[in-house]
Amino acid sequence: MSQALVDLLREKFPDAVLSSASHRGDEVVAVTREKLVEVIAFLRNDKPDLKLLRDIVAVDMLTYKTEMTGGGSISSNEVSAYSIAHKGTPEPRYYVAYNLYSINKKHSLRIRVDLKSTDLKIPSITSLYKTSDWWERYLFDMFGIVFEGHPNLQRLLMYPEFVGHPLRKDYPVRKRQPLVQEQDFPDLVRGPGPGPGGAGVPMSQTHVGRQNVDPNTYD
Amino acid sequence: MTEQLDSDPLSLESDLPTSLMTINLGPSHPAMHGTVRLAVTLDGETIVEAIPEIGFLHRGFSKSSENATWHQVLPYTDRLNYVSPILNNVGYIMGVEKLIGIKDTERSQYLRVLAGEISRICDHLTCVGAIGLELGAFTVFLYAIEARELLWDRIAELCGARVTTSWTRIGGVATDLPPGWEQKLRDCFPRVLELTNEIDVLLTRNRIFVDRTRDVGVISGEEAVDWGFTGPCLRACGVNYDVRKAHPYLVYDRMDFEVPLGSRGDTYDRYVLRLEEIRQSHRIVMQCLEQMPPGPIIIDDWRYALPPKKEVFGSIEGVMAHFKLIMEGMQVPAGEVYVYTEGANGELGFHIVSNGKGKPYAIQVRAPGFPILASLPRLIKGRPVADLIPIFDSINMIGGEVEQ
Amino acid sequence: MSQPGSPPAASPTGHSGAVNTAGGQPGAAQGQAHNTPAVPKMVKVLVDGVEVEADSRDNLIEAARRVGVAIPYFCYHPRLSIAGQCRMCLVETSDAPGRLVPGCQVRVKEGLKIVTTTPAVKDNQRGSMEFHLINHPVDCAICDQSGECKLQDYYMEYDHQPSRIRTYKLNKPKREEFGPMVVYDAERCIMCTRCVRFMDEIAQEPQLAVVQRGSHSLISTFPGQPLDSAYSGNTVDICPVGALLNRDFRFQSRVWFVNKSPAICTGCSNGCNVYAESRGDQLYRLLPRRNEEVNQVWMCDEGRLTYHATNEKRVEWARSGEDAVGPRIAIERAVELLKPVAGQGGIAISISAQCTNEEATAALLLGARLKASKYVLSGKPAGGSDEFLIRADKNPNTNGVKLAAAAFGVKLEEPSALQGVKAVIAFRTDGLTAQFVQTAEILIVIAQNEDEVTARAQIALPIKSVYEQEGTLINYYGRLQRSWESVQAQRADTAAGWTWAERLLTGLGSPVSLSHAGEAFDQLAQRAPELSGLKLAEIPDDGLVLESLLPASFAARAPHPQAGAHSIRGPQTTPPGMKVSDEASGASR
Repeated sequence: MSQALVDLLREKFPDAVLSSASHRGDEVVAVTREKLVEVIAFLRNDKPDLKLLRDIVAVDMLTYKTEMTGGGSISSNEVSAYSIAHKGTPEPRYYVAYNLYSINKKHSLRIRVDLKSTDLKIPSITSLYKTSDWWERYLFDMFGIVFEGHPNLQRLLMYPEFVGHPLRKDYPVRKRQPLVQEQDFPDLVRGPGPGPGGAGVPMSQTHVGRQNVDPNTYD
Repeated sequence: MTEQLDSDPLSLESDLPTSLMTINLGPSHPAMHGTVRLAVTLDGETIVEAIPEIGFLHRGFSKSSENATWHQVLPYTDRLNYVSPILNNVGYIMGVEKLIGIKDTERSQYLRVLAGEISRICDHLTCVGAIGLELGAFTVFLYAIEARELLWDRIAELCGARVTTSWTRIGGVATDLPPGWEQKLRDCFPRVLELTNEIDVLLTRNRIFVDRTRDVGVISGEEAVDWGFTGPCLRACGVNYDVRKAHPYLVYDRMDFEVPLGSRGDTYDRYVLRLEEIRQSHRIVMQCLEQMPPGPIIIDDWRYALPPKKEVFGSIEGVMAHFKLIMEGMQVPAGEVYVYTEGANGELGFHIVSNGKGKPYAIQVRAPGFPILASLPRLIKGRPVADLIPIFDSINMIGGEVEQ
Repeated sequence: MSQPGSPPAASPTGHSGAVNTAGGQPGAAQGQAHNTPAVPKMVKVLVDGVEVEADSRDNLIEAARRVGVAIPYFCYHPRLSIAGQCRMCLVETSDAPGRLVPGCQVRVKEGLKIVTTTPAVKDNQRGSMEFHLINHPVDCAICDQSGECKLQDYYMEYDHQPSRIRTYKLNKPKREEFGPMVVYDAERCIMCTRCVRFMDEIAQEPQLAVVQRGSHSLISTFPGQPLDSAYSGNTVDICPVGALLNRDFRFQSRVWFVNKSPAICTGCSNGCNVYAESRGDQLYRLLPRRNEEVNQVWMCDEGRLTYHATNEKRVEWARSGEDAVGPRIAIERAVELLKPVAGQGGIAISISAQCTNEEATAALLLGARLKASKYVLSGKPAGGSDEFLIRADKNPNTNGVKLAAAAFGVKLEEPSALQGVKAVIAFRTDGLTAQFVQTAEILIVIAQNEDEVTARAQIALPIKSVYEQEGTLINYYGRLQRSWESVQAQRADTAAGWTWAERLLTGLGSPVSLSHAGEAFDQLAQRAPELSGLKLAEIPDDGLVLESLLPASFAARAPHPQAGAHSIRGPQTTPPGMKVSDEASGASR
């Protein structure tokens, strides 16, 4: 069923379809980034009728081949400095996959776009699917992938001051984040004045115990 | 004189000088399930804009899963939709089984359907109860919670925990039905249905309830699909999509049940539909009990399923298999699958990537509530602020799954 | 007894001549490799239908490994003679259809078809596992090997079923202390005899033997002769099961909790390549890492213990006098002390030969800023040596510090009495004495371990050990090798030497950016002609020989030990899909 879709795509977009594969019944078609919107628009609006965008997924392939197994597998929560410095970055490092489904025709298709780590940009499909809005924000948040043309590309789950993109494989699972500077706003109850919470003195600066600590060690 | 009055800005007849006001609902608000913040811009009573801000409950589900063995991910899935954890367990485990290419035993398939449907009833009861509660009908909430407790007690007897079940295993389930459990379940169901009917009687034709939910938060079927709606919220718009019927998994193809559909896609439909689904789930549970064959509850392959404890403590083969499975994780063949099941709030999808090692390489969950919550600004726009609560209740946003 | 590393008088094994005379196999190789190296001939063989070019000296296991087909084995080791003990590697070949032949003992020949997937092979693998496990105790929970045990790996891969044999297990000695480093559990032993062969052939101190017969056989030392070879720790590494255990690591950590990272042993100037295993801020053990031109896959017992200095008696906090004042204030006070004397002369910089090149560079940069009048090379005292892996110079980087000093155009002196020196800044205090520093008015140490010098210091700054930071070391014959940050959690206030130097230089008003090891290395590479144009990241995994540093005795660039001296050619790379815990990856297990 879905194989017919793959054939249709190949016929319709011979230069956009890079490859296709099937694993355990899931059909995947890799397309070029330039033709992505065109391909998905065709799949949505034309005969394939893939009206439901289930989700958008991104995968970071950095340690796909090199991840340790065996005794070290549990301990290797952190990708060691050696692995990152030495084993190199597989390119294209990321891919973004769109799981599409047709409620009427009961078939599904996954569209996949490879992304190089040096050029993390992909066109947004918010004009086609309203639901892609949050998924794209989610992936921007987690992987730092820039969806060009997105109306409001901000972090979704993390706070704006968050440093880094947590689902990248080189983001250590136990990494700590810097303390966020408290926003300076006047205390409505006590009014302006010195002291914790008072106007002009952020809480973080009034904490006596932290003064001798090297800020460099807090990351 | 009157003209003079009219031109006077302080005149009784003139428009009030107003400006937009932004208020926060949440993150900790009695009507905000979970912890979500809504920045609502009001023009008087009317909502001009509502921006949901999520992430307060973000636990790093994907990141944690990537750093745990395949089985260790299971408890994390409990905490996705913590009202119907077994449905999450089943969804995740089916993804791993699809990657490996194995099928669980027939009895375990029935058990998964059975426990999953009980979970679904609990989820719907919670949602319905909460709508009642937040529209002032506390009785409804108490009824719903009483019914849910009855079922959660059965779940606890089955899994050892009410909420953090972690009950499924790769290739089967953890425990078989305890002795006498089946009868207990049969005994408690009449009360559950009675309470459901009480709720029905109290709410469905209640003038206040109908006025506050009818034609509130309306969305058309086409638009709902565009927003990525699935589950009860989509079916309330009249779109017939239920994974259990469209792509039957486990033993749903042997079950005789109806998929209720709404017509208007409003809050009221979403409520009525959930009530009806409780009854349909009850039918499935009863059929499971009738049809369930005896047999093993987990496959007998030590590469994937833990050996029985007698072997683990008494033989080197057992202890080795146990060690390798626990410490290293089972070796799941490399591949990528998207597996979808019908969760309580819609299609629950797991996108799983394996690189052939003992840990998932990447997992992303498609929480059914995620796209639905994303549409909240659309559902709410232009409605009075009082409508926000019933709409928010009826989409049944679960912080655990939306914020992962 | 002959020195380890030198060719044995005769082939120590009693295998059939048919195998040994073909040349290149272990045993035979030792006698022949130096004099008449067998000319490698490439032959085509088929492994499970896949054609592969194999060396004519390959056995079936190595030929299959070339295409990523794993033939399981316990007793075979690429660097030891063939024993054929375990019967795990039996496969079918076109030479003997319908029969199973041992993959370790049979050599490839042109057109040979090797099949590893037939039911007979699979049955044998399952049967072998079943037999190996008959008397194996239910010990995984208390065994240090579990997690890196071949029995566990192969059981899951080739057996994964309950045993059909129900019998009582034999009782044997559980805790035999073989020597200072090794303890033996006879019940877990599967009699692969790798340890016996290692002691005979590599360490060349035959201290182990098999005694008793049949299922009662055990490995034993000789009466009055413990296993006290300087290389005894390697028997633990090559033991495929948990029979031989390292007493230093025993019951310290489960292996799956430690992070494994490549590093360089700091025990002597040989620069053996190692894996350092750590958890939190603690190191747990060092394991040899494969480098054909330095240590093959072995290392000495003394080297295995060098990590203790990283865990014990550390200078933990930045101190001013006796007060732990934190890095910022310690640096401020150090700058206060140094500012009046900077550029006035009378400043001595002491650099230990335990420093990495980057630390030495940082010290020299600091010295240049302060216009130091005297540079001292300190270090651990010399010790015993042999012809194999142990060097007399017990410092890992004497060559590197000398190279750095030459690059900065300064002369290094012995740590003798100081005359006219007001201030001493010591980068690592190894080999310094209280007497040496007693005349100094200002003593600032950047030290790893507490000793009499750090006790006297006005300012003591804790430095990271070599295992905790990235850096490069140059071994005794001029091999530039890279070491990685192995310990992931930071211990107390510790920072790398170049970080301290950067902070001091910033405090002194002439900042030099030394934010990571690469920058410090660049500072050195700019000045040292031997390293010109080299970047830290470009140094290969197994190091780089700096030709200009090669001593005269290495005229023909003969590394030590010579490649292949003890070994047949092991595979150079791990084919994708193979387990990294195998010999092929470079670890000796």
